[in-house]
Amino acid sequence: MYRKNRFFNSILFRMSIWVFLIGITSILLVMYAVKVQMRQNIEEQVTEEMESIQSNSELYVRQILMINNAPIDGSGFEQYTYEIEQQLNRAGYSDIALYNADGHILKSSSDHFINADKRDDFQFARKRQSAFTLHYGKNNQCEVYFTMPVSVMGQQIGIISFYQDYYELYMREWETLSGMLRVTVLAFGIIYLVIWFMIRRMVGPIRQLGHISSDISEHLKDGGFDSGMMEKLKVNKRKDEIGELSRNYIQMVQVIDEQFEKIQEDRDHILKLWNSRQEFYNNVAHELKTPLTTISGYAQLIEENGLGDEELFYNGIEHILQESTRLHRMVIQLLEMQDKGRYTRMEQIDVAAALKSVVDTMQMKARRYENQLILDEEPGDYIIEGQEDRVRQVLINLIDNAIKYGEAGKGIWLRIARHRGMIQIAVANQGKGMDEEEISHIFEPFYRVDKERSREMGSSGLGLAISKKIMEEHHGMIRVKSEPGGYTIFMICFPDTIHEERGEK
Amino acid sequence: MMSGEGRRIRKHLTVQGVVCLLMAVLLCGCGAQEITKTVVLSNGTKEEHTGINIKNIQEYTYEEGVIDVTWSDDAIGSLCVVWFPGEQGMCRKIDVYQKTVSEEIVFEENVMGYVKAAPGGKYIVYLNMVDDIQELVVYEVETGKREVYKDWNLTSNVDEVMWSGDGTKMFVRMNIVDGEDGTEYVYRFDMESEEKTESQVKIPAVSGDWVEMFPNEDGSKVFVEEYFGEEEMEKERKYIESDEWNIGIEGNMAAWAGNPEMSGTNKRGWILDMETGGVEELDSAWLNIGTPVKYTEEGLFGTDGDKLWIARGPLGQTPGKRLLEEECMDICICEKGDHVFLIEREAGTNHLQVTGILLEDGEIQEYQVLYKGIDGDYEQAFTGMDDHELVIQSVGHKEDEWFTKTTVLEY
Repeated sequence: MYRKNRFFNSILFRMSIWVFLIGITSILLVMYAVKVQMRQNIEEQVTEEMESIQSNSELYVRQILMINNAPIDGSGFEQYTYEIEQQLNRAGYSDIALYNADGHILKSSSDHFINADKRDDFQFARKRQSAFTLHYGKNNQCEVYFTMPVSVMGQQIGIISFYQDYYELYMREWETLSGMLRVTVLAFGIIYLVIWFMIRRMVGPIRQLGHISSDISEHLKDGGFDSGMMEKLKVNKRKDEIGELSRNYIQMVQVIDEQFEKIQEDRDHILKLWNSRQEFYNNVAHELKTPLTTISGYAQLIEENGLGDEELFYNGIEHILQESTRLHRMVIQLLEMQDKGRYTRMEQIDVAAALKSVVDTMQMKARRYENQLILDEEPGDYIIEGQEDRVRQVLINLIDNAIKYGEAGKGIWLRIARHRGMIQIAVANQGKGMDEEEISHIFEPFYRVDKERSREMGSSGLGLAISKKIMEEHHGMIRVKSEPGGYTIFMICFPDTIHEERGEK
Repeated sequence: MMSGEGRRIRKHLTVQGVVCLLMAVLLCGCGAQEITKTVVLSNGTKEEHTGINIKNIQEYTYEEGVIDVTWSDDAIGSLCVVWFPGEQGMCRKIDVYQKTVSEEIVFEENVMGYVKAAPGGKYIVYLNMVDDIQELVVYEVETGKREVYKDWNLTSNVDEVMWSGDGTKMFVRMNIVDGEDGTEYVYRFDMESEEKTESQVKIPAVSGDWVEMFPNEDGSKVFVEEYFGEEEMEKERKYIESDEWNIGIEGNMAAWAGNPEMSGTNKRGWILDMETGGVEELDSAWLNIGTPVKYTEEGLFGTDGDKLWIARGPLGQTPGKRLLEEECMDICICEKGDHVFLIEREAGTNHLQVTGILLEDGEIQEYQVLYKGIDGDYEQAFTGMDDHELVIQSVGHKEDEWFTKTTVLEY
């Protein structure tokens, strides 16, 4: 039972969701990487700048102490804090705090340095290590506290703390990297749309195939389907796997369609065969019953009357003998018709001579029916591979039928000739003729066009069926052409194998 | 035992869970949050420098318009400042440590020009003019003695006056006109000799228009370089072909003139031996030092844009080697050639910065910033005779007053 696919279970939906999820995850990954990279960039830049501040500051402190002839020690540092602060301000460092070597504050230019001793950078500076604390706050806040021990000529003379606001650097970095992020998002959007359209294009034909197979399966239960529906499948010209799939599908449907038709034909044929068989048995029963009834009737009459009625006795005996003879012949013919392979040994026979012999034999009977056999023989030798008595039987059957059913005085025309590699013998007569329906059944056993007349003429209804069978045994064929009230022509054809072999030699 | 469907559902849920978890983690990472990080700087910058070590820094500011400044080699070390208050030429000695003027003298009432104080501050040379005769006068600061060393009429001209690095020899480059063209001469006067002896060497220059001389520290040798154009090159060829100039280098010069690579180069140089009067021709293009700036014991220094070159002695045997590439305003090199000072603008400010470079056998040993934050416009820089001071002169403007500032870095 075909089940319609829900949209949520479709490949298009699932793949779209997965691509979307992968894309969002990728964007988040890129965003995370961008932030990490941004912080790393800022840290690198700040580190570089703090190293520069460190070397500059020490240089400035030393310069100021030397220029002022101050002692190069803690006392000189404490004495010239103002000059140092001014010099550092001139150098661009506005938020600074000066401490002595023990960490006691000497001068501070802003309130950023309250609780400085709680900061890690200050604690490191007290241990004679320069350090900075980088703080990222909310609202893109980025500030740095840098604290360095001041060493001149190998002697630590004080500590300086700097406060720097890196909001602009942060924003600059963020703008640069967010630009990259925007490009990534845009690129993802475009890629997503392209992938979506590609998936849709790929899945579309599959869905179309699904719909068509659904229609086919729905109609299949009604005993057939519309193969013209395949024309709706417009992707079979594609050269990719989808095109191949659709072509294969169409081919498969066509094969199924052909098989379906064949099955229907076979079914009709079987039905027809069954009907023929039934009719055959009916005919056999009927044909056997008629003489048996005659025999039985006359036997009963003779039994009742005995020799009292001599005429009836002799007349009855004659009828019994006649009907039993006919019955015997019919049984023989039935056996001959069914006995396949009995006459398998073939020999070369002159079919023209056989025809002449049969014509001579049958000429008497033709005269009896006030008719005449006219033989027209095209010069040549007509040798075939076959059984002469069987061939003669065919010729007798055909000529006998022509005599029986031909109109008196019109003549029966026989012709033997070679045509298209075949030896043809035609038997034509003029009489009542047959219509197409009669012609289509004429080779069936016990079929008679005119049943009463045929029976009167002692016909068993098996002659043409036997003739057809004999021609098949000789790899030949039998054809009939007739029109009501006109000519009836029977033609038998034998393969001209002997003549061809000689010709080749 | 789990069924196939169960396993499929579980796998599906696991994949979904992982994706959701990853997204949640990423969303948390990408969200705004407060981060504090402390970074400890390496102690690499704390290492003691092994190069030029500044021992003292002194500054002195004065309001007078200064003509020339030199550093005296007396015991205390003082500035000798020459300036013109009106027509007078005055010299002032200043103790920069005590910030006091120790001596002030008037050395000439009517100075024409070319005022140059000798390193060490013992002599001041200047140009004077008496009755259309120009005189090159040397004033001896200690004795107050004034002596004319050279005089000439208006047909000749003094092109350059310089002192040797030790301040004992004075070099005068003159263009003596005889006939249509002038001839370039370098005269050397020895201040320490009794007779104030004079030696002269004729420069085989073509035009004399673009000639520069660089005496070495003790004044025994002078590097001279001439720049000339196509016309002068043609004259040079004619001169080479004549018998007039025959000191055995015709072949080299002819080869030089015929060399297509060299034909576009329009400069050449000589080493003048002032003791013997010898002239040694140098292929300046081959030396490859750009524009010469200093002739020292270490070799000949030159600059080419932002590049500093050195051609180590004996000159003419090894080509110049690039020492460094650094954009700077000026380069000051000591007389021995082992201390190089770059005067440059401090990044992002209008202040001057001094970078010191210590050389050993023509190789940079140490490169370090020595001083930052000199206000004003740069004027000049020179080293003391004993190679222990770098004197930087700058001009500034404060409260509508111009001032001259001298910064002395003692190393």
